[in-house]
Amino acid sequence: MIDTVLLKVASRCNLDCSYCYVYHMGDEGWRDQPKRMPYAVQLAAARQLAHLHSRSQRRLQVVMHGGEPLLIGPKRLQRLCGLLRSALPAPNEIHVQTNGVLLTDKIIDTFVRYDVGISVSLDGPPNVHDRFRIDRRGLGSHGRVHGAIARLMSRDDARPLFTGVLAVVDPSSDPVTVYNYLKATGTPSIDFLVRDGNHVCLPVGKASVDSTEFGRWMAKVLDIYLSDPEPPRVRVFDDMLRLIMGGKANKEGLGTPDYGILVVDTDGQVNKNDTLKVAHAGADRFDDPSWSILCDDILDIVQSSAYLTYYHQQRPTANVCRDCSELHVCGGGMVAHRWSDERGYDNPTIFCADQQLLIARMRKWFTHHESA
Amino acid sequence: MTDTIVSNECKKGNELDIELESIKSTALARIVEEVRNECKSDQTSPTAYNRTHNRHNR
Repeated sequence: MIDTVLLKVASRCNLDCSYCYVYHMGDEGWRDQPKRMPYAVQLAAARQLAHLHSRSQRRLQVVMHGGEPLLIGPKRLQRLCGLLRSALPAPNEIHVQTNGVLLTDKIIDTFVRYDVGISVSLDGPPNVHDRFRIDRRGLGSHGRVHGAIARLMSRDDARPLFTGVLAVVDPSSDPVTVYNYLKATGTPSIDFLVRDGNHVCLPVGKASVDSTEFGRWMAKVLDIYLSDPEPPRVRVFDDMLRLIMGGKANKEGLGTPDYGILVVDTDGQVNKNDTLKVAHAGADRFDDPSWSILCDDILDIVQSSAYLTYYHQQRPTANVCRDCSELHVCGGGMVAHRWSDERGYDNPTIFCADQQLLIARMRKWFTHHESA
Repeated sequence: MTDTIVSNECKKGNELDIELESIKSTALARIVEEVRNECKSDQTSPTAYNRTHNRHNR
């Protein structure tokens, strides 16, 4: 019932990306959070995760997340990684999702010591990345992020920990340029994310729920990817293609398997998947009751009716989805992308048309895989 | 010799016969192979410990 726990190690960020779902989608919960996760919360989280793992005997994945998790500082980070790795030995996975700006050799040393997978956010070349991923002074972050990736790639001990780059799609950018640029960094894997939005507020770059700006952009990258004789992995395409073939996906938001994701906020509060903030302010909260990692047993939480309701929420309810022949691939999309004020989550994703276009393109590759 | 996968042997999904030798796409051939191995190993967890992206890297 649970496989992934996000630790909100720092509630603030050193970048101010205009599309960020944490700070720019109307949820202000971060303002009430301590800037960094206190030691008491770190310790409680590590103990509870060890307890959860010993009882469930399932491999867990913990992601240090934010805000920007490296804002916790190198010393605190080292202590936290030590706590987590003691609590969750391999093959449990510990990861960090970082913007890369503070990724120094000293911090990389810590990740090497505790076997922490590193995923870095990079949208593309400077003109694409710096359009949205700016710092508090309004300056682009590309140079610093690119330097961090070069640092990772230059170290034999760190390179195996580099899981890949995460790129948010700008449909006005050139998909060929973006793909080739990201590949040239040497990254083993790329994951493309669409911008977040819902039926009340569509993301920038999407004209309507029927328009396909993101789908067309992704389809162009798909063609480049599947034609590339030496491609990196592209997670979103691999997952969708696997699902078309009857295989399994790896990540939330695609396919019909259920994912169990909990968030431990900086103050210790236990919440739902934080991407639900995209739907409306506070959508990621368990309102009644609210739980804390400091005083509630995580096993009680995952066995509660409130957790079960949240867990089952990922299954799409809209008739158009339930009757759709591509449901086993699309899965109804991210839950938050289904939201409307009138019908709650009982809608197809706002990216339904984009997904249909992309899946159709994939199917063409199977039909004419020699010359799609 | 032609290697063929019938993907819905292991899981729901539509029937899809793929001849590996005829696939010119490197990525597609790899994914077909991965799905076939997934079927053979009958994994019950959604993913393998393969150092690909974490499950919530937004």
